[in-house]
Amino acid sequence: MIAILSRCVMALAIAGLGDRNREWGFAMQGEFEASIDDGRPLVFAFGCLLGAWRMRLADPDGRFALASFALAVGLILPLASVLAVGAIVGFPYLDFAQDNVVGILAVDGAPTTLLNDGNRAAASSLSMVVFLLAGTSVLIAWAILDRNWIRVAAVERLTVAATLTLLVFVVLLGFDETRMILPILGFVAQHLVVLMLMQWHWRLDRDAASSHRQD
Amino acid sequence: MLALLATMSDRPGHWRHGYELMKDTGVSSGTLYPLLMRMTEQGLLAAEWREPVQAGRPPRYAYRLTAAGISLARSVAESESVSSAEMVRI
Repeated sequence: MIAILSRCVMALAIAGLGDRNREWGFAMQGEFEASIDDGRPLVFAFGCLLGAWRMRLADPDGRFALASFALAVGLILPLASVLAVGAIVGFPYLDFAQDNVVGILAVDGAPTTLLNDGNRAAASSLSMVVFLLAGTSVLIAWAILDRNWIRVAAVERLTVAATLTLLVFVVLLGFDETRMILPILGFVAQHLVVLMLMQWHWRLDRDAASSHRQD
Repeated sequence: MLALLATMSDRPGHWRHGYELMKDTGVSSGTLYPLLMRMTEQGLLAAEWREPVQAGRPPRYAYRLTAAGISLARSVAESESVSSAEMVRI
């Protein structure tokens, strides 16, 4: 068990070193086998993990990678989860005027909705759009980690189109349009993160290019 | 870094593996590898891959001091001996 856990920690440490220091990751991997023979693989693996993170924080590219990872995992993916759960419980046509979030999630039987005979047919399509928004957030997080800003921009255009579609239908079908504040605020937060990371990445590329020219 | 220089200057031409250095110097792997990387970049250490002794094991990196590393280790040892002699005098 300790050996398996140690191997997982080592894999994290090597991945944390990044492409530039990949060879040092292999060097750590070679010594990891010696630490197993010595009976102290977990201590060695955790040391390597801490060292890898410290090295990444000392490197501008590493700081960018860690910040991208933190924003993708800490902000964008939770946003996607909220949207996916929202789609499952019936956002944006669920009537939660008299209930709180815990009550909605713990609802027994059929929840109260704002649907009537005139707009019931649109429910599944609206749920699909909310699921699509959750999916686009996951794609954006992935593209950010890949540093693929063209793909980020393409998925953001799809997100804007889906959000506007949702807004238009919420208004046309007579639902409470204030509930669109959540996906719109989510998109704005996500877009600000993308803009900040793009600028940061552009500055990194510019600094790397100028240092190459000086060499 | 001083502990690593002192340990490696005991047998300057001898190639050593990272785990052996970790045990000899008493520093953790999280401190040792950033040091090894920095010292290699600064030209104080030479590093090369060694084929595994046992089949199925990954190759291992081995390190030894370069001429610059040896001269730095000597100057550090000299300055330490001078300062300890001054301490004794005081």
